[in-house]
Parts: sequence; C-alpha cells; structure tokens
Amino acid sequence: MTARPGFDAVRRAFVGPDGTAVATEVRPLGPAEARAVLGDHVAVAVTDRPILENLVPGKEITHAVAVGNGDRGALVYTTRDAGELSTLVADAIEAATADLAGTVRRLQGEAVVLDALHSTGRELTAQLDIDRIVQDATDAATKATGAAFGAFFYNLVDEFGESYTLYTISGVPREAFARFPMPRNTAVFAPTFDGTGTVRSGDIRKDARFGKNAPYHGMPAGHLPVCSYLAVPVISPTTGEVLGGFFFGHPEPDRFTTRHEYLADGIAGYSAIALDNARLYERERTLATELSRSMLPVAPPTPGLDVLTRYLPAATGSKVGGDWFDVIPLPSGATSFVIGDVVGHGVTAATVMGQVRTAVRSYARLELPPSEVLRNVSELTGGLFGESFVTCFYAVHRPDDGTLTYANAGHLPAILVRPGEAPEQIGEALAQPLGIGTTFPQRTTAFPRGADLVLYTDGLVESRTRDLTLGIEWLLAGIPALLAAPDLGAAWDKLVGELTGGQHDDDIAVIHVRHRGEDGR
Amino acid sequence: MSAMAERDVTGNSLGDAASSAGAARLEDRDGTAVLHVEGALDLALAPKLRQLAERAARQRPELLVIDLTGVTFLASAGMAELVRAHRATAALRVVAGGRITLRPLELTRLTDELAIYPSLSAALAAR
Repeated sequence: MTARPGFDAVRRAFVGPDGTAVATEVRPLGPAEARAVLGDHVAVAVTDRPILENLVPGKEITHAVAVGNGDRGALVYTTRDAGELSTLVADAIEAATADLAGTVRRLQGEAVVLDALHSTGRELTAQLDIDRIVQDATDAATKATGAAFGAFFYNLVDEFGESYTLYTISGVPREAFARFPMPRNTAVFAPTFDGTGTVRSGDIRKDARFGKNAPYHGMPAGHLPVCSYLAVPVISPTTGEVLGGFFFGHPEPDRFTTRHEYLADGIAGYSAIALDNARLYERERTLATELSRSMLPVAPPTPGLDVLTRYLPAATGSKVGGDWFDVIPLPSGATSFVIGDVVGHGVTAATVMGQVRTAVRSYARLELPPSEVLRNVSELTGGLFGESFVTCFYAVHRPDDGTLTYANAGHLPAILVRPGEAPEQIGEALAQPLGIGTTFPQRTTAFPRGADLVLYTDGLVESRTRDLTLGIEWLLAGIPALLAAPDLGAAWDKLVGELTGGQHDDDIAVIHVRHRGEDGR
Repeated sequence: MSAMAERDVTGNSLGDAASSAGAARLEDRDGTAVLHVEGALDLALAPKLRQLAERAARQRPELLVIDLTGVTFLASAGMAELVRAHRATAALRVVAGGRITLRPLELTRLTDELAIYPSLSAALAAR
C-alpha cells in the first residue's frame, strides 16, 4: 500500500532500543472503524488486544498508534521491539493538534448542518405540491432541531378569497393535537403569527408572555408537555405576507440552541420560497383554466342546423388554454364554424387564443371569404405574437345554396358525411398554420340536408401513445355508429372515451354540425 | 465524430412510446451541427430543442440538421420550434423518415417550407 505523507512522521517515531527506525505497517481505517478506535481524538495509542486482533488478525503487534485524517484514519503498527514510545507519540500528536482538531470538528459539524439545510432546501423548493411541501418541511425541521414534536400552521386562501389555517404535525401522531382548537394570536404566539421574529425559550412556562390569555392561561389540559420552545414565522419573500409558522416543543428545558434556531430559520426560509412557488403556480393554472373556460362559447341556436359541441380541458392543468371553437351566425343568414388550436399553454396561450378568436369573429362578421378571413388573421397573428403557431379550420355554411366553403390553416382535416355515403375527410393539408402561411386556398362542397360535419382538435386523435394516422382512422371508423346513435351527445362522450382511453393530456374540442334541413333547399 | 453509428430507422414504432419523455442533444460533425431528438417532441421538450438550436446557430455551422428519427410523437409545439429554427438558421435540414413525424409535417404543409430528408445519412450526404 502507498503510505500517505501524513503518516510518515508517525512511522518515523517508531524507533527501536538502539535508536534506529523499526519496520512499521499501515492498516487504513474506514469511517466506522476510525470513529470506534479514535473517538474524538486525533491520535491514540492502541493497546487493547481484541481491537488489534480484530483490525489486523494473526499478528503479534507490539505497538500501535491510530491516527485520524478527516473521517477516515489509519493504524500504524509494528511487531518489533520499539520501547514504550507509542503512548508518548500519541500524546505528542494529540497535544500538538488539539486546537486544530477542535476547529476541524467544529467546521465539520457546521458543514454537516449546512449540507442538511441545503439538501432540505433543494428538495422543498423543487416541489409545487403544497401538502407535500408543508409535511416535508415539518419533518425536516423537527428532525433538525431535535424537537420532541413540531407543527407547522399555514394559511391558505379558498376560492372565495377567505383565508383559513391548516397544520401538519411531526414527531407525534396527529391525534395528539386533534382535540385542541387552533392556536390563537396570544401573547406567546404573536411574534410568530405576526411575523415579527423567532421565539426561543429554555422554558416557555417561565416566559413573561406565557399564560396571559383566557381561557387556558397556558396550555390546555392534556396538551403534550412543552418546556423548551422554538417558534419561527414563515414569511413570503415576494409579498412579505406571513404564510405560517413553525412551532417546536420538548418536555425538557434548554433543548434548543442557537444552531437549532439557525436551522429552523433556514428551513422556514426555504419553506416560504416553496410555498410561494406553489401558490404562484396554482394561481397561474387557475387563471389559465378560468380564462380559457370563460372564452368558450355556447353555440347559438342555428336555424336548420343541430350543433353539438364538446370541450374537455387537458387533464393535466399545465397544458390548458390552447383550443377553441366558435359558431358564428353571419348577417346574410350563413353560419361560420371555427375550430383552432394555439401552441403553448397557460396564460400566454389562453391570451393569444382569445385574441385570435376575436380576430376570426370580426373578419367572419364582415362576410369575407374563408381564404381571406384566414389570410387576414394570419397577418395579424404573425405581427402580434411573432412566434405563434396557430392552426385553424374555418367553414361557412350557406343555406341558400346548400354549400359549405372552407379553408384550413394547418389544422386537422374535417369529416364530412353526406347521406348514404362513407365519411370523407375534407380540407386536408390545404395550407400552413396562421402566423406562418401567407395563402389559404378555399374549397366549396355540397352540404345537403341530412349531412354531418365534424371539426375537432388534435387531442382527440393523438397523444404520446397514439399515432395521429391511427387516431384519425379510429375516429373515422367510429363515425357511422355515432351517426346512428339515438343520443348524439352520449355517443360522442362514449367515442371520446374510447379514443382517448379516458385519459387526455391535451385539450379536446369538437363541433358536430348536423344539417336537419327544414330551412335548406 | 463520424464514429457514431448512423441509424436509418424509418418505421417508427409506438412500442415504448408510453414512457417516452423526450430528449435532445447536440453533436458537432465537422462543421455540421446535428441535433438529435428522441421520444416525445411536445411542449415538455420544445424549450430544450429551442435552446440547443439557438446554441448551434451561435456557432455558425455550415449546416444544421435536426434529426427526428427517434421521435415517437411530434406535437405542434415541436413543429413550431422547427419553423423557428428554420427561420433563424441559414441552412436547416430536417430528418423525418417515418409516418409519425412526416404526417404532422404534411398536414401543416411545413413540408413546403422545410428541407426534409428520409435519413440522417441522406441529410449529411446531400451537400
């Protein structure tokens, strides 16, 4: 083995009766062995036979010195006659390094504390789920402070804007606190609930603020005994609002040190960031959902046409916001059908969608031909949103001549079923998406009495696990049964369930137009 | 860097797509930047693709090839990034051999705008 430089001095101290160096060997010690043999010492003379036999079996060791080096160590030993030096060697090393060793131990202790705090912080701030954040934070802080039990009271705001308080418990079963009311803003708790500072007490019962408030004047009967007390407010770094407070207790006095206070403060700081993130995320998600739902139209009654619509926002909230549809009665008596999809998610996509939808509606009301509607919106989209990618199928039904005129900006084809004919895809690959394409050719086809038109978005036919081509085939295959069903709405719900396997991580929008025909010619 | 084995997989399979969160990495092949994309190219992976495409563009390669051979799902978010890369990069080639990647590009007519090759070797050879 290669002797490390640090041990050479120790090896040279092994000298025989004639003053010359004797042969030594080095046996490295793992962390557990080093702790067992050295304890808090930097060097010790090892004379205990069983220990030596355990570390170096089968050797008649005459002298041995264990030396620590970080969390590891080494045993330097000889089987020769080397006088009685080993104890002196160990004592000398110990004396020379005592101060240093103390400092190293203290710094190692600090490093452990910082490591623990850092890893707790990293785990907390990587989460967006409030329930997990509060429980993990309470567990980590209770452990770090050595408290008998810990609690985290945190404030939330419900959908009506009312705030309410929940709590987590660590160290004891939740039932231990279930019988007690929520702590109120009493003299003892005030600094925590008001966010004015940390309270640390060797014996809270002797604190001047303790026992001042009715009805309990102290802890309620049956409360777990609290003597040592530590309480830290959790304050939002963005708003300065008090998000909650950590409370730690121990039945014995003087259990919480400045280091415990430091750790609790640190974890409270990370918890505040994590809770802030979770709240902002939740707010954005709710806003996007609300925004996209508020913009979804109810199809107005259209003479001669039955219009059925479906809108299923993404099951996973982060993707909500991109799909839309519209049914627009035009001044001439024609009706426009629009379906589209804005790439992206959240508030940005929902906002772009709202504006594109309004633009389509506006040009539609001017009764521009479909190719002109899409060309105008595309120019507007490219200029307004620069990097947008919006697909849109636009169709106009004219009851006076029984036609359907349509253009398609990169959207999936529509499905047209004329009476007695097989489902047919129309408008496939006519043009590029809005914001990218510049020309949008239009087509006109017959839309007779009894015909059906289906417009849909990609969430219906594709996903990470469903190939688009197959998805469209399956949709087409499902159409005849759908058209024959007595209840079209129920039939659509069933078909959507079958196509998506009941799961969809993208929005789904569908418009189904059925030409009843009494107003047609 | 030509030691890397080339794959000419044109028939993408959906077999392992269920758990296929996407991945992207950039490779320099003698002045040609090759951006390999695998798994689902959707909203989750689109920002990574943009970041790598922009990094590649800063090094001013003669050619940027975005290889979609290993892509199991090409969503609109991914196509939007292809258009962006195309408009920001002088010479962009896209490798899309199988139906899974070609079909969405055809339906959006991005095939009109993007230079599409059936395999990476074809994209690299046609100089």
